[in-house]
Amino acid sequence: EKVLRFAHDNKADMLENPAHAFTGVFKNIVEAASNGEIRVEIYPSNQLGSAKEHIQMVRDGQIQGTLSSTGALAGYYPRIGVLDVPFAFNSNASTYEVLDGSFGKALAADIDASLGDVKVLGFPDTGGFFSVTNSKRAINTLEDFKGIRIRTMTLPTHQKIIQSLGGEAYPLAWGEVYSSLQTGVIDGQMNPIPTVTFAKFDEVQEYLTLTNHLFAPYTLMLNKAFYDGLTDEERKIIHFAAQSGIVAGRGLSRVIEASERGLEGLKKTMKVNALSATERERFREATQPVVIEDIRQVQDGKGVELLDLFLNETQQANDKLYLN
Amino acid sequence: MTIALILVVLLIIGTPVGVALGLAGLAGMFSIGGLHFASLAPAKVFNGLNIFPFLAMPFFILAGEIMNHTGITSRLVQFSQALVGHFRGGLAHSNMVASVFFSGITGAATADAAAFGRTLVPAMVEQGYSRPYACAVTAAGSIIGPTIPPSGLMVVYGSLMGVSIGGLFATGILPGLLICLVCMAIIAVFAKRKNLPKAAQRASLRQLLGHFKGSLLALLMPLIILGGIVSGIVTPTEAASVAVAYALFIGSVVYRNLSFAALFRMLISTAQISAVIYLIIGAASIFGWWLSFNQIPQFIATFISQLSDNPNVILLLIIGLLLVVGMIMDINAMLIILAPVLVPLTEQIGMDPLHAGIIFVLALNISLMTPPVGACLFVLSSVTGEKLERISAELMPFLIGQLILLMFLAFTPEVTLFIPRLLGY
Amino acid sequence: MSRCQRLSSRLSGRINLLNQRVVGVLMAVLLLDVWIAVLDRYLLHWQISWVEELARYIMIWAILLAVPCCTAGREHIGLSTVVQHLPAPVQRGLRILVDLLSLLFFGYLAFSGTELVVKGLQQVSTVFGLPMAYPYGAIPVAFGLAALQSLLALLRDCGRDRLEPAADSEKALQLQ
Ligand code: NA
Ligand code: NA
Repeated sequence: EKVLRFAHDNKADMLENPAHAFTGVFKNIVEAASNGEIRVEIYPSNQLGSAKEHIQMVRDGQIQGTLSSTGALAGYYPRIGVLDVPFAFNSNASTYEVLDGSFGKALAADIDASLGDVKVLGFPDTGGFFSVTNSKRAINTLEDFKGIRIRTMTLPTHQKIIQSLGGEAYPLAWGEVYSSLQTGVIDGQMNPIPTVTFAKFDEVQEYLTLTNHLFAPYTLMLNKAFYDGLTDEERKIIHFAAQSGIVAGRGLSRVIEASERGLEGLKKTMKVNALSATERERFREATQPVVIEDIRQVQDGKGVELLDLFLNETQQANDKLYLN
Repeated sequence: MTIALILVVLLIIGTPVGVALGLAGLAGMFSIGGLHFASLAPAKVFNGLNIFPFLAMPFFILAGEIMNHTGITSRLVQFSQALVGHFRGGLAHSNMVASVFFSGITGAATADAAAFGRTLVPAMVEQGYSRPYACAVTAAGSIIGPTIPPSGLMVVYGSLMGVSIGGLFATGILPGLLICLVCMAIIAVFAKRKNLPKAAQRASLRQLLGHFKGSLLALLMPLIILGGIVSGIVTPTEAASVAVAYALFIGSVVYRNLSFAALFRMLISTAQISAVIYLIIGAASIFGWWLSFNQIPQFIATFISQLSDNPNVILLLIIGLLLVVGMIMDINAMLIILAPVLVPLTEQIGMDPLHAGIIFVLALNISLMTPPVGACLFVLSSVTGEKLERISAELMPFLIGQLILLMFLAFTPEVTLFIPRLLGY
Repeated sequence: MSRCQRLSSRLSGRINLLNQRVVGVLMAVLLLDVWIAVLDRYLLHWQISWVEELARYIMIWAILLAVPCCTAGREHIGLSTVVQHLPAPVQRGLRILVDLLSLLFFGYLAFSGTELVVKGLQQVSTVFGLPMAYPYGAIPVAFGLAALQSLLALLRDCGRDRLEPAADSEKALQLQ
């Protein structure tokens, strides 16, 4: 019997968050298809540590698998920063297309090569596009951003995006975000919809704008030695279980967005608006060239190569029509 | 089981709590997979402390140190005496009231116990109180400090469990005042029978105002902290740094008795006081990792929820567990190890996170006074030279009163949550 | 007092003095850093990105570096009630054992912490983009010093109950 200990940073409810939806489906398929030869033990809710620690534990082999956020992975693999291009995707479908396609393959291969001790199996959904919430005003035009103080993660590109839009970006620790929004230390924040509902930001924020400016997937990784130690048959199981889990996580993300726990519910407590096509184009023009330039500055040759592939692939995916 | 035994033995032979937790955790890691697993320990220590809101703790300590340096503690005691000193058992009552005033500049029960153990206990003994009784009163009042904001324990709880620290601060005000009232009632009830002295003259209005003015700057501190947080000017962590700025202003501009050298010494002592706690938190993270890896927390949680599905019974079990473990365990270590197990249970039974938080914090604070391991008892015993057992005996009525209060607050969320709701939490 | 005891006492004191100065300076920098964050939001509007990250790492350095100071002054809390009831030679033996255990724990963290620092060379911090080896360095340095201080404290006291000024032991208990 082989034990695959798998850690992630979200709650232990399959219907509550995409991470556990992935993990639950993955575990079910692996255990059933291997007829119990591989046992999957799940450690949700950061029980074993932070997302960054999970990566280190996978690399060192104390656990065998994790889903890591781009923020956590950036410390080990700075080239993940190429995903920070704002307004790169125009739909969820393009994110699937790009992350499952040749860019996803190239990225996974490069992470494997750079780290040397992990095997990347795919890029599950963390909950969808980033939106912006705030307590000042509905953001319909670029000008509406002026003077709004937005909390961002401590990622320079995230700060740059808000600043290019005309807002002010202040990094705050996650633990202080809710109360800071509540008391007005800051006016707004940016995160995917499930995070907004999960953290109950709707209680302390009035406006939700579906800017869809960023998409940050999880990176699904296993310990390389563990992966290499599997039989060919077992490896096949792991791969198709991963694929199904990724589909399930994406499905749940869309379901959450559409349900009471997503937009449907948020519409009752917040004023929700989407950007018009022309306005979205202005947002893109204001941010994308600046951020791309920044990314080019900090990335090495291989990173720039990945960036160009990413831009090219997103372009194609954005133009593509389903079954067409 | 072996690991738990190792921990208990290490604690009994007097190993520092942090070292005991760390070694037991290391032994646990080693038993899973040898040095390969034990090598996780340094990262656990680092990441157990790599939490921004933890900063609030040293800053609140520093603010308290500076305020103390300015001599504000004795002003607060004088003001309390002017208020309630003329009753029978006047100094005992003053001790309680002074704890309430003092709470605004301290985040820790042991700070209160140490300061009053050195000043008020000798004063009480001189007036004819028995030493154990004087110590018991001081111990009972000492937990008002970490209940009324600021509170180091609330900072740790809030940052670990994702609960609003400002909200916890607001929730603590009422329970803190109630502890004072309950203890004063107990003092009053036994005052005649214990023949407590009644020494002071009733203060005139003019004297009262004079003492009030002398204490005003200290009394403003909690208002500045909570006001800064509630009004949205600062985050709780930043509020702590503002409290330091306020204390510095008072020390250097108002009282003018703060030198750079003294400030530098206080910066060092603040770091040392924090280091004692942080070592325990870091080591508890090692031990906690071993527990999590073996999925022991889930086992305990499942066990409790299998005993009953009645929310009231589950709440009682949680409180009971905290109090029992609190008899032998350090409260910060308990927070790291038990909160992730028990807080999800409170969610399951539908408790408001602020309500659950304050019950948690109160139960831990009460365990600072329960023998054999109770930090406040240790402090008082070491400061006054009184035997721990004799203090504990005199403490009983207060302990029972506080436990009844804890139960009352646990089962009346509408009372407990009144102030936070009023402030918009 | 034997020569060895005097020597270790003096050495411990010397190291501690320097150690405390470094801690004091780091604490001052920490305070300034958080003040800047508040000023930035209301006055400067520089939208500084490094305040939070710098504060966390300086806090860890400052407070972990204070651990050896506490070790030198025997300020770490432990349960003394049980041991006090035992016969004097047993007490002395247990105190020596406890010092050795502290030495073991701190020593292991320092030793194993160097591996963490080596791993940290290949990991970069989010804002500064600097190797995580710098913040991780606090672990081997602080616990290495703590191990040294527990060794010196062991040689200095040799299991005897050290008569401390009361103020020191209170300090240790002041935050619970
Ligand atoms: Na307080
Ligand atoms: Na206790």
